[in-house]
Amino acid sequence: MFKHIQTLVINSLLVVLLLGILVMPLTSLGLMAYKAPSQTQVLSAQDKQKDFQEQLEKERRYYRMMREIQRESSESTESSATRSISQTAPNAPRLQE
Amino acid sequence: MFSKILIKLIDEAIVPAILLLTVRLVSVILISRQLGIPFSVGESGFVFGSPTDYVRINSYSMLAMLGALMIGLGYALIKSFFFHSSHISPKLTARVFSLRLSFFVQNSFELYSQGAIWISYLFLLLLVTGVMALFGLVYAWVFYVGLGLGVLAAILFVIDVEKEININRLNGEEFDYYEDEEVVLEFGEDYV
Repeated sequence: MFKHIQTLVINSLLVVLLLGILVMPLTSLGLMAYKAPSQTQVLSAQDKQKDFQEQLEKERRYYRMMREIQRESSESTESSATRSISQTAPNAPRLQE
Repeated sequence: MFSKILIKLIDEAIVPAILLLTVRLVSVILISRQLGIPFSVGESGFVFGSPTDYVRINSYSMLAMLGALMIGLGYALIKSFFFHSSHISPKLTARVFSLRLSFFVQNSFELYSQGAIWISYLFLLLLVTGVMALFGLVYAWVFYVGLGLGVLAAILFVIDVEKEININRLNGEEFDYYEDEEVVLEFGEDYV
């Protein structure tokens, strides 16, 4: 009984060895690779693009804010001027908006 | 205790494995030099500058491996067709012995273990080539060439096995005619 198990184990090891030898030359097929420069460039370009977009968005926000402030200040100036005109000359003709 | 067949198969598998490894390495270097494609040797082996170069070199290298396999398999098939101890003609036997090439004459155990190993390598390589062709790492025609060669080798191998089976089916009486035939072995002058 024990002898059979011993034989089985040894023969299994031999099978593993045989399969290892059979597969060994095929491992050499993975000994080749290639650089992908275009891929790297795309990734870096994407990163740059992302930074650029963020910067652009900040500038847009700043521009909108500035325009908002400008509009508010011009509206307030216009309303105060109209008020003063209407107070000094109530019968004067008004500009159509 | 040890399986005789397994020991024989391991013994026969070592030489083709070393041959295929050598052919792969040498073919990659030689083909890239021949085509003027630069490469560097890094952690991942031979590194090429572009995927196109990689596919080109990989395909030709695979073809070289298939060629080496076919040479080995062809040698085994020629031996099993013409120098098989079970059906070699007396005339050829005499010629082979006179040329001191008696190692060509082998029995079925030797020939079929050798043939089985070479065919196993061929189909394993074919499998890998197929997967690589599927992912565009090898030209598809390399796979088709390998498939054609593999099928041809398998057919020839099966024909020889069938011939052997038919010979084993015959009983001894059918070989009695050999007793009537006189065979004269001619050796070289060294034997005189």
